[in-house]
Amino acid sequence: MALPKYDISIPCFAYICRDVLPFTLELPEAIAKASSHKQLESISHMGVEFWSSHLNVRGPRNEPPAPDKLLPPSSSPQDCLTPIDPNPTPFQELCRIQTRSPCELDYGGGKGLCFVNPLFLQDYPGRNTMHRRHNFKTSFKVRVSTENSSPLSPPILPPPPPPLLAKAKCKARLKAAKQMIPPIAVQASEEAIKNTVEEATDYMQPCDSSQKKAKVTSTLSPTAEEDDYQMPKALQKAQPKILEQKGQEEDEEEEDDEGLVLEQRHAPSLSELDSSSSLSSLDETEESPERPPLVRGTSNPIMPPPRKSMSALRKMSAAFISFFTPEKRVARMVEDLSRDRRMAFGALVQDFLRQQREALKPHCLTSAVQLLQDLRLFINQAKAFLLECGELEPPIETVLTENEKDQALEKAMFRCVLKPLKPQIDAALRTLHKQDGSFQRMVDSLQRANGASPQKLFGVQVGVPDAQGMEKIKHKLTLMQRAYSPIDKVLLLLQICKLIYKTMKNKSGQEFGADDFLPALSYVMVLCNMPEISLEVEYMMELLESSWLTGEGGYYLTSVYASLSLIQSQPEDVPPNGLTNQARESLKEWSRRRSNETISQKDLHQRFIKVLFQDGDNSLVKTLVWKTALNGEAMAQLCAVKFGVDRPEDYSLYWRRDGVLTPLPPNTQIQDLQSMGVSGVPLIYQASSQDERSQKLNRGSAVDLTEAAS
Amino acid sequence: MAAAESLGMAAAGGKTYSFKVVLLGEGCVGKTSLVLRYCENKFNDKHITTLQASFLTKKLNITGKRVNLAIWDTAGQERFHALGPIYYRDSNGAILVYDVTDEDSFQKVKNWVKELRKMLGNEICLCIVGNKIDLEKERHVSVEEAEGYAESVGAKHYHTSAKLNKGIEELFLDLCKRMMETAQAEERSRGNGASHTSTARRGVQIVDDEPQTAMPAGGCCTSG
Repeated sequence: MALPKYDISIPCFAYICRDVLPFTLELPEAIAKASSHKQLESISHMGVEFWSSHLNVRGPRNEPPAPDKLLPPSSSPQDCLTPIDPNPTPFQELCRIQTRSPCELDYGGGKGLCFVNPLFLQDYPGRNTMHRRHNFKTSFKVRVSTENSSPLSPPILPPPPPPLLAKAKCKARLKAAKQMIPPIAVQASEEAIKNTVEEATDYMQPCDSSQKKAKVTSTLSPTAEEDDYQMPKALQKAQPKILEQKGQEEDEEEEDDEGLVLEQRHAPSLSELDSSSSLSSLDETEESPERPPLVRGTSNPIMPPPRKSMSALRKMSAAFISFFTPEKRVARMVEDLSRDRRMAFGALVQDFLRQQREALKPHCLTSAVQLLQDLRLFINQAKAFLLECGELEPPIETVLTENEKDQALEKAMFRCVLKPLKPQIDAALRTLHKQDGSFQRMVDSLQRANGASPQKLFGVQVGVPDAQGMEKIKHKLTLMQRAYSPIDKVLLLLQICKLIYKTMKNKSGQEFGADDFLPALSYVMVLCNMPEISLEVEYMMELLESSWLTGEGGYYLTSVYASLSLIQSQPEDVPPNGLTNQARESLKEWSRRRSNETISQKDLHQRFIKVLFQDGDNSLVKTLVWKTALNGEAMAQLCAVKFGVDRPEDYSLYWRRDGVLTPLPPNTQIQDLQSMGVSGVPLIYQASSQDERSQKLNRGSAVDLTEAAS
Repeated sequence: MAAAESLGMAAAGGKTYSFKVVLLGEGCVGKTSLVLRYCENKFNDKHITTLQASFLTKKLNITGKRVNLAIWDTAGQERFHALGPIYYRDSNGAILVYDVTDEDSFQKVKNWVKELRKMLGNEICLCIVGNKIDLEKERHVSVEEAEGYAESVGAKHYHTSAKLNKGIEELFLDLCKRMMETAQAEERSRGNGASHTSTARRGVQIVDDEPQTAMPAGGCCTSG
């Protein structure tokens, strides 16, 4: 929503669905009562934090709900619809939503809205509501806002657990939903929510009945079954029945149409790869570059687009999204979030992109490895942050299983970090490799090998691609250069390997091992004569997650690396008596680095935290990096710098314990934050003297809230 | 959080181990047939019936523990020898194959062993495999010599025939058990917190950067 008078926008997360939105939307009191531009601006700066801040006091409304005004429990959801107000407020007009008045629905103790994503409500003509409910149940999204779980104002009910505890959260939602949705709707969505609870349980206990499992598959993802990691064939002895079934499913799934192959969690094997499949990071050209954002508006403080078209765009976007695979849906959600500066995650990503654009300028470059490592590190951290911050809407757990999650997030992160930086990264890598001479060495080596009859040079004993085959391979290499996602690049690499195997096979019909494949691959690499391949290999080796490097993709990537090393170390016809020292050195470093990374990935040595800065009427939220080495005191100093306070000694860091503002001990470590349960909520940086006042304010609001609930 | 996730992955039936096994040996000793025979036989894996045989995977259940094997084939020709480290970094096990009818191929195995020990230390489980025992009559490498050598370098020795499908199952089962023991020992030494040891990658420990000159055949029997 936006206040036209001030050009300030405030994030609002209402889906457009008159069927369920049970609440007259109105401006939060703090905004409605704001008297100065300054006040509004400070609210605007808070972004989403506003909803959980003390400013968003949910005191008694103008018309406190009288018990007799509540709807009888038997009324159907349709009955609850409030007739359209003949004199709509500007806000109502803006939102174009039919709503119910608070008195009709606000009997859940002041809890907020029920959001149902309309794209899951398909209309089936001729079927009754319950039918529709049933359909809805199988692919629903229910989200209940939990404003009263604010970290800044003491909750009436215990705050909902962090988003990762899907099961418990669902239960909490169920409880909340029960209290606020009219009875019939409650029944339906209760079932729906129960369903989630069950599904959530399924993920954790994969040995549940296969029937349930099948349901999960159909509702959540077409690829849920491919997680054979939890139920490998090897378990057959222990659980024969289930596994038989599972085995069958697996077989069927492997014969799945190849269009899905590229959406898979693991790199598909060569046999599954269809060389004509499209790749996610390449079919982007087909999409409109000005794709509308999913839900949230444009970024602050730019004037939002005309309201009517905005809502239309949102609808359109939502409709498109519904056709995506869950993985792609997550990618879109994450991407949109990453573009929204008002969200902590968006600010984090956008700040990083801005900083990288500077760092990628030619005069700032240091080394290619460093550059790629920084990107990988950020992706790891941003992924962890995204999971912790709870800004993803709907929560990723409702869209994907635990096992699909990481892959989907990985792809989503590539999309919002690597895609916008692609031209700069490419240019930087080229510059660096030209500067250090390695590019020229590759050019020379390829030329030399080309002149020395490559077939003889590598002892190729099998069939090799003909001119047409070479064209195909070159085309794939060109596509590889265009892709930003290392996963897509490695899939293209696998397709190339498949083409090579095919031509080997043509001539004899036997299966080949590395003895035959590596010479053929080296030969093809020489004939392609594309020195840029070495840049691609480096890109993949540095940016792919370790799990990819140990699988088939990793094997063939290693093979290409090996063949390029071979080509470079090939002094005419003399057999190589060793890798070049440089290759050995870089390999050693790479290996050490990536193995360390696996460890540090599990145990990140720094975290992003949100800090709310409060100074008089100003408040500001920033996302800061807390490194392991820093203690609370050092963090406070960092805050002083970041928020630009003149007298740092007057300011301190605080956190909320049971709603009470508590100073953060100076020796606090980042690990302590998590055990204190602070990792998800922002810290507060404010003047030490402000302390008391703020506490009082919150106690006051606590009273209000209690009254509202009673 | 991350630890909880990885625990969750393995929670259903205990631990899942992921092992990388590198396959080394001169060309023509039958490395590829050996591993094809192994992967093909048990599960009739689809991969085999189609195209590739350089990278194979196999899932096993050994005493209730799940094991994912990734088998990396390497090119055995002399001209590719120097590429070895690129392939065998982070390996948990190595299968070094020679042809019992080819003395030279056995000497090559010795070169590999020396190099592997130098690069990966004692963490890696070594299997020395005399293949083609169906050609017993033409044997040129004596059983005593081969087994004696294996023992001297802390490796295990096996006799196989890919053609007759002999000894292959035993070879891989034994290797898996040893790799599991090594992984468990490593876990214990790290303390119980390391739930992700099975997938943790071990870096190549290149202790010596001297250029890899071709070793004179047979010059390293007592190494290790």
